[in-house]
Amino acid sequence: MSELPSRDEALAALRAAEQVTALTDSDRRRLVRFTALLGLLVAALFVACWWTVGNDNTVGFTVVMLAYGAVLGALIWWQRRAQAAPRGFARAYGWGLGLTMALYAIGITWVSVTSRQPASPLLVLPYAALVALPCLWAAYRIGRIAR
Amino acid sequence: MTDQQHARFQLDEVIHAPVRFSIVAALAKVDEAEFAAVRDAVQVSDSVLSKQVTLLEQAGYVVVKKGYVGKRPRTWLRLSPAGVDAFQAHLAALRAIAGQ
Repeated sequence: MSELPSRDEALAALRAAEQVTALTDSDRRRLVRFTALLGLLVAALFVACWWTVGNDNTVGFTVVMLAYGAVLGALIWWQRRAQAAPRGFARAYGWGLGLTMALYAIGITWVSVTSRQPASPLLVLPYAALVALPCLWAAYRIGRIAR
Repeated sequence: MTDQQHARFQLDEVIHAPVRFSIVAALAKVDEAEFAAVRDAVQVSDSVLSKQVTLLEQAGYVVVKKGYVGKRPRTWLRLSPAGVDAFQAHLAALRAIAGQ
């Protein structure tokens, strides 16, 4: 190594390392909102499936799935405009989405099995909030790690 | 302490160069970032960033991924595990030199 840093140069380098970042506030907000909206979308899908399956509404179910696909596609398109993701984003997002989808799958199994005697909205709506919760938690975590 | 044990000998020669140090420092805070975001953060030209990233990639410190967003070609950069370790060791050596 030809040039070795002095104490002041080492301090300056450490300060520079703290300050430089490829992550903008805009990207951070975009990823937080994307993760939260994804959780709310899956929760809304669960409620819509319960409503349509419970009422034997095949056309309604088809419309719900098409709308879900369109909104999901738009959300992913919007999220992919982020130029950087904070360290830890993939992990928090993966856990949040994984748990939300697991709760969704359990919920769908439940409303399908009980479709002849549809579950009460007093049970379904709190469960939908539970479905969204992991993604909302992940969004909160992403907001915290990105600061 | 012998000369070889001094903290300055623990500095990573690849990361020590100012532009490469800034690139690695910027990537240390993200899972991955687009080429343009790193260029703006480090405030260098495309050609300078491209050249330095190639050196970091050859050292095994940076992983380059090419793809598309819509029809637009994009390049994403991220630190490899070896890059993360090397950067942490480099920072530790700088802290030792700085007396922190």
